Amino acid sequence: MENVRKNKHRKIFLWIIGIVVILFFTAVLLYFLNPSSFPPRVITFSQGIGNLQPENVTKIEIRSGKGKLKSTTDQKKIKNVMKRLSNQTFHRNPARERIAGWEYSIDFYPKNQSGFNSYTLDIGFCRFRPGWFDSSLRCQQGLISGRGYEPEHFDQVESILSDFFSQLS
Amino acid sequence: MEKYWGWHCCKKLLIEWVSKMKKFRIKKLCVLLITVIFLGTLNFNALAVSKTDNGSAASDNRMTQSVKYISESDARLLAEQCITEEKSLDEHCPWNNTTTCYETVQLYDYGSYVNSYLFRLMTNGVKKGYILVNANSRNPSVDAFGYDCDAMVDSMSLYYYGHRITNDEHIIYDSGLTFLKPNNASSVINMATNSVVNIDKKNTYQKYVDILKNNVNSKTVQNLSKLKGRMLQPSSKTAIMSESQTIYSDVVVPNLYANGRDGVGYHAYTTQNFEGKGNCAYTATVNFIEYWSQFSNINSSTQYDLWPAWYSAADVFQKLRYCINGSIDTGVYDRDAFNGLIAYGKLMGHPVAGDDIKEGLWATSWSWITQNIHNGNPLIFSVNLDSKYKDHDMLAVGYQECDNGDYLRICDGWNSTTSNFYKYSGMITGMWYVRW
Repeated sequence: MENVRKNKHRKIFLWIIGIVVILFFTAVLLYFLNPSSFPPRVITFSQGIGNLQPENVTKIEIRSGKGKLKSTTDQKKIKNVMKRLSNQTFHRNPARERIAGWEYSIDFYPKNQSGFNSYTLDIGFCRFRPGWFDSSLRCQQGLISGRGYEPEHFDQVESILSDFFSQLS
Repeated sequence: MEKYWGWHCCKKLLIEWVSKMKKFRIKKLCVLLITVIFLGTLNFNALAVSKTDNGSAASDNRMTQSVKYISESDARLLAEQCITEEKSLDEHCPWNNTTTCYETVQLYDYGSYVNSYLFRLMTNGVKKGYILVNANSRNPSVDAFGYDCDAMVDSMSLYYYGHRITNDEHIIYDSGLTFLKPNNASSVINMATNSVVNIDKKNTYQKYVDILKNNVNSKTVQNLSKLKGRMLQPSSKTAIMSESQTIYSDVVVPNLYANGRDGVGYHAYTTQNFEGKGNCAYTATVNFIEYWSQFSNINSSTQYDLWPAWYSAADVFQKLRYCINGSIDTGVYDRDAFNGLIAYGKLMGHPVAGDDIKEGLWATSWSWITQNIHNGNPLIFSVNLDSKYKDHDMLAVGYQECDNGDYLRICDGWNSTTSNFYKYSGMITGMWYVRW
């Protein structure tokens, strides 16, 4: 009788240990599989905004750091600005992740999806989608390359965004 | 060879450990494991309790709210209407175009909810007169007013305690002349007689609520709706003005609606007023200093030194550029903006009397925010990954607690209004203040 009880306790104990070990390894695995755990050192603008194609973008909104918002649904303008930005490269600088104040922020609204993919000069990229618990948009990191990226050629990116901003009414 | 010995040692140790474990009674291990889990749970609960205690500083001793009250801004509309009407109806009324509410005191019900607002008035720069507004949402109305005298509750307080009532005293207003000062958990002081009265707060609150629920006046409700309809609506993105929204409390830092040095009210500067492409941290700090230098309750010489009369906002901005280690184009770190504010105090000859900074997601708590607003400390805060503001610094000058969430009343640096709100959420990554 005593042995049966001992065996039962041993089994429970082993189960607990087993579950803890499995949970630990799952967490480790998830960490390694999550792209945001190891962000690439250099990415292109296209990669940053999740390889969105111009034909799949319905609207672009651009806001200056001083709060002025402009937008366009003109496919020609959308295509043009995305083409100019697509090959710009950005290098990782985690220090830019937590800074307040920026020059331009550009949001790309994908077709048939709620939310938008965004780049903020020179803070980084983000994909804003409705949260799990409410409809407010939240930045989902890890699904696209992420934040803390600054342009290799700041002046060029600044000039493209500035031109785009000024051509919109 | 070394590798082999290393492995051999490890293997030996492992076997030794396993054999020791076998000797150890499994039952004891189970008991140990359960004890650890139990202690962990207790710890977690203790943490949760301490967090709750900390988090409910603003709502201690509150009972479930059974009656709705209008916000302070709505009550202010009624007070302003009263001023306008009295000016036009009563030829002896001394109120004129300079008459403003320079101070507001909140009065509470037995459940610790604000049920009335006492607006103290100022005419031609002289502080006299008052308006007492009943905030019952079923009958929002002016309960009493006086052209050139103190409110009855102020007279009682002056007589017995030598000062007018303050927000900190948490005065309970029942009805008529029943003003009560909290004494301890089971008693209050009747201010009319300065005598201690024992009460059962829960029962009294229930009786009070029952009376209030029957106190319905559709005319006064309609009147307030009309007044609100004339108000400027905040930007649509705030969603604060939704029809169904109920505002439980609306608090701003003291004197925000008073007149400043140049005779006009608080004016929020925007990033457009200053040079730089990403200057939000500097703009929020200029707005912060504007409050302290003209609207706070500190002594006037400190106020003048913080923002000398001959300084324009651009001059203060330039001083801040010198004090804050950052860029007006590409942004500033929270800690640098905070240290810059401290440096500004020193530079202007008045080192800060106190300061605090919370850094990181969820570092701030709602109670910390509300407590500071009550204490007269506007707060500069930074949001991170926000869908509208992205990474941006703003100034909080008040808050509203509504049925659909808690909101900060903000100067966002993009609009000059203070009727702009930001829903309190985890996107706030830093918040700080200094005080003088």
